[in-house]
Amino acid sequence: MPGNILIVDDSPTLRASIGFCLQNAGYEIFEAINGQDGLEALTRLKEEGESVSLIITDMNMPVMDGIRFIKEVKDTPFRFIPILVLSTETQEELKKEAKRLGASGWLLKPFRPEQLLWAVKKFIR
Amino acid sequence: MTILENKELLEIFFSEAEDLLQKIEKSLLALEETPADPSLIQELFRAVHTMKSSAAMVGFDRLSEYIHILENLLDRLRKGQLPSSQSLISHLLNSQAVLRSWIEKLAKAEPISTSELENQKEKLTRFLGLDGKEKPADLSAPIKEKETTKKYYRISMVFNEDLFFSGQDPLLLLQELQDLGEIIKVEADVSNVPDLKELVPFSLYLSWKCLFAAQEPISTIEKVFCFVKEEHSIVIRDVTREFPEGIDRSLADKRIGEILLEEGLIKTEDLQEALQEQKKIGQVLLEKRMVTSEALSQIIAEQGKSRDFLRKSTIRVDTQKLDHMANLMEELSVNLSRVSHVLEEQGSLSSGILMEEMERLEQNIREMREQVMGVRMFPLEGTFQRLQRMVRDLAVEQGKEVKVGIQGAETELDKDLIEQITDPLKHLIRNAIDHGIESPAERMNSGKSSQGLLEINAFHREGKIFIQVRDDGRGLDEEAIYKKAVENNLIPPGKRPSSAEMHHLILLHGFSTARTVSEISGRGVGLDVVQEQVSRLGGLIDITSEAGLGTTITLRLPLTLAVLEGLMIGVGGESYLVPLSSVLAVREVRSKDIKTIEAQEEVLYFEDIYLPAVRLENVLKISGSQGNGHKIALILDSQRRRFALLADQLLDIRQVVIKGMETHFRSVPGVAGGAILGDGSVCLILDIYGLDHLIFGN
Repeated sequence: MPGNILIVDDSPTLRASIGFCLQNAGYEIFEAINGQDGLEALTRLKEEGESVSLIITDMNMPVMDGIRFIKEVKDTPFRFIPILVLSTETQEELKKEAKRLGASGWLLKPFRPEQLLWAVKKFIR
Repeated sequence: MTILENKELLEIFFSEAEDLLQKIEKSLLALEETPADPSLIQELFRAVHTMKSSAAMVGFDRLSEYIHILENLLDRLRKGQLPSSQSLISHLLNSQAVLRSWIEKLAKAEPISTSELENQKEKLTRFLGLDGKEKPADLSAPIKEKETTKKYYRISMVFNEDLFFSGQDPLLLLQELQDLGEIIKVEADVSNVPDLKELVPFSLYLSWKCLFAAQEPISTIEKVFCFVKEEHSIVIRDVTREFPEGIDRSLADKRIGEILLEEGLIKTEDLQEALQEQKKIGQVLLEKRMVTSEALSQIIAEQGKSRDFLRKSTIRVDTQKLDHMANLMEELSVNLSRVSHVLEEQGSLSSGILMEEMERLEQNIREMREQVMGVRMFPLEGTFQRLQRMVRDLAVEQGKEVKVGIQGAETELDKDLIEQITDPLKHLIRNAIDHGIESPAERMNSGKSSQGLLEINAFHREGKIFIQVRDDGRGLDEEAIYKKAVENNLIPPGKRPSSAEMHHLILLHGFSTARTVSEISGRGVGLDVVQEQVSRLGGLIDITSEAGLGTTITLRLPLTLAVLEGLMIGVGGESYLVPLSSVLAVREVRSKDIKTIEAQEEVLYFEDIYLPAVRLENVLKISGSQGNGHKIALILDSQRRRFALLADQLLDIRQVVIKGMETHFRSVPGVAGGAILGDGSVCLILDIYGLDHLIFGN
């Protein structure tokens, strides 16, 4: 029972490929399409008695972007859930900001499945 | 698992791509109307960005590369680095069409031609003013370059207090390390943990140090900490060199207490408390339950391994080989001086060059000889340390307070000599504590500090090693010595010797003035044992003492046992070597100088007294001596007495390398060993102390 992972990304391809890869590795996957949706998912999952072991979030998203999402999460009881940030090399500033806000790790897109698993394993054993 | 093979996933991608292409088109068309609208540019950028990531995620790398250039271009547009011109927008619309055609091809599983791709990329880069060679950066893949040998790392992890707020867990880092190799030990530093009332449960107060072994290169180890290394202090050091064959070299030199402290198994206070006990530290800690016996025995085992390794890392050389080398050096010197002599006779040495070369050769040989001798030399440090420990133990046992002062522990001495001098030194120290240093009360009464001082010093002087044992105790009791000496017939009654002579009396056999037999000394062996051993080593003992102020006993020893400086004498065509340290004087004597008393014993008059005169040929039963003719008398001091040894000729003074005698010769009394001379002949070395016993009995 490796753990529950929440993927917050507006791209269905990203969500699907990350989900595919992590499900294969035995993780339970929950999806959200932006930050706002992500916050709601966290609350909803908690009510359902599910605990989230890791959040994987994109930076560039409509409605609520990654930075705001991290900021919001850190203001909730979910603040200790590790957050893995998906960013691209052009987003160095964003990555720094995310780290400052308390993101736990980051992964540069595009990544290979083994890189994703390697990063996830740093937070879920 | 390749994502490209996953049909479902590809379908998701193609439908998302279709959405994105439409968004891109819509944005571009709107931009034609309002070219500088930032929200439109942002929307466009986001769509292209998402498409790039998605394409890469499903494995369409070349498509992603193209979109990457497009994204860069839009990024510059977004930042105002590029003007939002009509030509740019029409160009972007063209790109969108190219993308669509490619994606349609990919959806039908048709390849994109390389030339077309490169062509389109070039068009874009021209806009960017970049060359087309830009590649997406390689990702932080944990690529393993396996190495076959184990490496050792010391990793120090000092985190900021807010580590938990970034979702990190030190335990996970350690677990990840464990996946890569073996964590040999972890030590947590708890010194920063505040009092309970100040403790914030979400803060991290601990830091860790760990010793880690793995086959992975340091870059792999660094990756474990990739998310924390920037904000927190993570230091990884490759310490493989400290662990030859997997053994911690540093343990050998450490004390058990020190190691336990470093391992965090005990606290500093525990150690200090245990040190007060004057017992073996491990034992005290065990008794006080400050450490478990498992932990202790493990440490001791590891230390043992380390020490074994150190032993292995030095080369053991048979001392006989060294002796042989030394011998050869001697022979070389002899040969050289002969050559020099011959050249001189021929007058060849007047040539400056030859002279210079000869001198250089001599110098080299001298240096090399010193080097060969140096191999046998070791510092006294280890011995002194043991002695220091002994003083502490003895003092406690006898309820005395003794401070130890050590000087010259770095003084080097021949290894054999160190081994053989250790017991005599122990004896002297026991003696100093038993008889020299008073009880604290007695000391206070005589106006001294309650703590006595015992100094052990070593130094070089006159080409010899001096080792001194000095105490500030009560000094030698001359009255008691005198009485005892008379009692035991060591000196005739009535004739009181000088102070110096009196002091030396304590070195004689069966002499002990101790009033009570202490547990340590007084086991029936007196200082005569010390005397005997020191003489055998070719050394001398000097004693000075002042009542109430203390006693100093000085051992004067040769630097090495391997080389002996001696006078070579000839008797009956054979040559013998007499250690120079025993020789007081040399006299040429005629038969009339030697007197016979009681028709039996021969005596020689020397400095106002008659000394027994002994013919070497008689002692060693040698024939062929010149009998009563011209003789050489060596005035010798065996430390028991002075006597004159008579020989035929005085041949030379020289340094020789002592050869141990074969087993069947070893018991020959009066002979210490042999030496091979430059011409290959063998010469016996006389043992003056043994000779004394042979001549005069015990």
